[in-house]
Amino acid sequence: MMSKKNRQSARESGASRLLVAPMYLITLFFVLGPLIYMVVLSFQQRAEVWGVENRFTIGNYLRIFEPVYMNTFIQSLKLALLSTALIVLIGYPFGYFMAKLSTKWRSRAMFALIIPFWTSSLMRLYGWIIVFRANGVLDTILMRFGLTDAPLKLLYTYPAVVTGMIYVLLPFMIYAVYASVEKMDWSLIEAARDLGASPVRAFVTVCLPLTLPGLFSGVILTFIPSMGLYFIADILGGNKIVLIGNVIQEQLMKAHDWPFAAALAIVLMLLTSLLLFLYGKITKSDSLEGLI
Amino acid sequence: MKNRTVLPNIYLIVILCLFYLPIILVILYSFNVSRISSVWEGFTLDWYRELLRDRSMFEALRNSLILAALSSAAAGVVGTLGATGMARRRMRGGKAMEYLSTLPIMIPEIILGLVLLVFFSALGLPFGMVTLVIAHTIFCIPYVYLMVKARLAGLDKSYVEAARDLGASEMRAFYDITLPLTAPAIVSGVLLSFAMSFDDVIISVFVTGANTNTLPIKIYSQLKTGVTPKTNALCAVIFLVTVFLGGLSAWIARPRKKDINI
Amino acid sequence: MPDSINVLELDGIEKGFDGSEVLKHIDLEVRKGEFVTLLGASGCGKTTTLRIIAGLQRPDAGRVLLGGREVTDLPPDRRDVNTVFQNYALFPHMDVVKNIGYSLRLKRFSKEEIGQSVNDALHMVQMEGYEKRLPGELSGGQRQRIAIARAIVNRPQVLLLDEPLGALDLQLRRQMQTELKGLQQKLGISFVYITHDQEEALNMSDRIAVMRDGRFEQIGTPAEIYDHPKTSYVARFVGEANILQTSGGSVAVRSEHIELLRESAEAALPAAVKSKTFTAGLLKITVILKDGTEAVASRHGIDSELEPGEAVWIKWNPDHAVPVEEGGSHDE
Repeated sequence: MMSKKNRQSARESGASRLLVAPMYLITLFFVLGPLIYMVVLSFQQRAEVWGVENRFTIGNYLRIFEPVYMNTFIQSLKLALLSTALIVLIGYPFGYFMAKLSTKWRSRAMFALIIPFWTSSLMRLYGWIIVFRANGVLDTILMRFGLTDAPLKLLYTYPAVVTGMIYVLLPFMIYAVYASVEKMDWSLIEAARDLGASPVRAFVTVCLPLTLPGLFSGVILTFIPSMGLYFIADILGGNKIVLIGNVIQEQLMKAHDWPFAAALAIVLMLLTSLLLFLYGKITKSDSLEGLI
Repeated sequence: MKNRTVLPNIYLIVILCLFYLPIILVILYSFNVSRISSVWEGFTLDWYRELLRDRSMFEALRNSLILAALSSAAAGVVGTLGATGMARRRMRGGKAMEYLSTLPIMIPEIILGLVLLVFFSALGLPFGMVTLVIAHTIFCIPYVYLMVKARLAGLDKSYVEAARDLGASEMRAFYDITLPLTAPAIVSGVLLSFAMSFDDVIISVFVTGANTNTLPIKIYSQLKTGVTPKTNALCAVIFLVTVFLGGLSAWIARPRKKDINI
Repeated sequence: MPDSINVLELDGIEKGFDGSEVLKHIDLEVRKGEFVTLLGASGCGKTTTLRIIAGLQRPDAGRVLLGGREVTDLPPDRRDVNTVFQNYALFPHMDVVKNIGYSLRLKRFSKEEIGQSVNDALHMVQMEGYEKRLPGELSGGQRQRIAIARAIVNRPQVLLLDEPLGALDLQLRRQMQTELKGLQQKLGISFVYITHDQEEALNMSDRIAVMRDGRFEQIGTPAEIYDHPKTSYVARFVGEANILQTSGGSVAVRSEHIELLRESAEAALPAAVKSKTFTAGLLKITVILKDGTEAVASRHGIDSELEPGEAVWIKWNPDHAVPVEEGGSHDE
């Protein structure tokens, strides 16, 4: 009797294992493997002509401490934090207001949001080039209305890059906040109002805390990519704004210094993970709650 | 009461308009006679005609479509199986596996691109469609996995139990009950994967071969070197496809009487 | 199968979850055509017992026998048992006909046979005309009938019902009780029914198994449970008996058997009136005895001249006093 029970239980786990096998194998081989390989690579030295020398060195990591690279990291961090902060400011109200719409309008707003979200980010950034470039749309309008005399030349500036970042990543925040606000039990707000709280107070003491998980998910979804979306800086910032992503790409493609690129990438990953970890500790959320 | 809803709605509309502004501009200027996007000189369809004649564009488009289709399909299968398996039994190391499997979308794309480039190179894989498909599948799996996992978690277990009780084997119950009720999530995941793959720039740039171009790569290089309104035309066409896919996804995900969890 | 074989037998069933024992030792026999109710408070293990019978859960020890055959290790799809779930669990993506006919389709009956059986089942639960509806379009009571139809269309040996009437309002519940009982007798299927409502149990069952903390405190006919409770728990749970102390130990006396006197008499205990309420058509007067225990006396009528604080004496006919084990020192 016992063996029969165990056999049945074993059969069930066997089926489960079979189901997850493809995913497990792919993950082990194409995610874990490469990661390990990259770590190994980062400790190697680029050879003179081609490839890598089989020597263990921490030279790559030491090189990162050079001011130029440290600055790049700090720049990237600043940009990511700034973009994320602005995205929170813009995105939270949007998600909140959207969730409060009637059901009919909610699905329409969602649809209206999906379109730009799925539209190629390159195309959308291109649109901003048109807006920002010298004598572009923005300049034309401003000059037409006499607000400025000369073209603003906003393209290839820091604000342009920040705008691009916000533009690309905002939908993620909106969706995360929306999902969280939509699930909220509105009767709680009503109860607070009933007990004498003003609308603002009810919002701050009831709605905000309850939708925080969604907000946090949004921050995670926004901050991580913002550390690596170097092509935005490329397109809207030209050569003026250099982010860590640009450096990595350069080292990889032009300088062919793979070990160094690997080291940079690992530091970037550690940095991101560290920040996420701290963030998780502060907010006590460690998963993408209520996200998808 | 009316005053209170006006302000939020204005905010929503303004932001939405800002979202569409660049898109509209791009499409608008695809009909512009002038090469320079900011000066309007007249309406023309010439750029579209030129687009149709551009072989390399078509090739890039074809590559992107095939790539997106293969990757999202593969991710759909692997991700669904994975989510189903994980939902059945808690497995040793399951949490770690889940973390690793969803890692591709949790780290900056550039890291994934670098990691895969380095690894593929070490393996000696031919850079091109092969590496592209593998790479895209890897970052598409998490989308499907997470969507299906969420759906399975929200599915009332008593449905499957009732099916078993009525005489269905595990497979039958999965096929008759779980699959139909999870299908919308699977489809949404696959569509989302398709869109993500079709739009991918960074990872594609890293793992593609010298001769293989995807659409985003082509557009990206043009944006850096010099655009012509032909690019606008291309973007406009892609936009149409996007609208179609988005509409499809919304239509599939629409709430139906069948889907009420009772 | 000869009538001497029980249609369902539970033999020494034990089950634990995460270290705590949910079912300690369960023995039960159900005969053909019998209506047995598992009665108890929430958490006592009744649903777990049902799930073990259905095969949705496996016991840690003990055996489950259906029609004399051991089925302990058989999966639910291979047992001749069907369940009516508490939340009905109607397949939301199938209409009524497909829901009811599901089990028959699995058995590969012909289209005509399935159609006929489904129609019969719909007729039995009085839901003709609802064939094409989806579960989401039905009310709670309607879904419940369809759930029942889906379970009986198979004519299983045993039908398990997990608090099927819990979500219905009082009126509907009373009506469904009668219908269910009628259905059971008509079909001759053995019912194992779960409820925490003692009135329901007393009304419908051939036998009641009063359950507590993973064990059956008493199994018997409604009359046996009501008039001769074995433990104070059973006495209190079914029919609100008073547990009173006499020289011979604890006895249970139903409130309708307690008499209130204005003067002392032989064998009467002194008490003071605490409160009086009128519920369910009866006047209930609560008194406090000298040692602090409370007792409830009930009779017909709207009011009484007795006022709170007044001194009274309570008395009862010893024939109506049932000795009970003091198993009820913990609160339920």
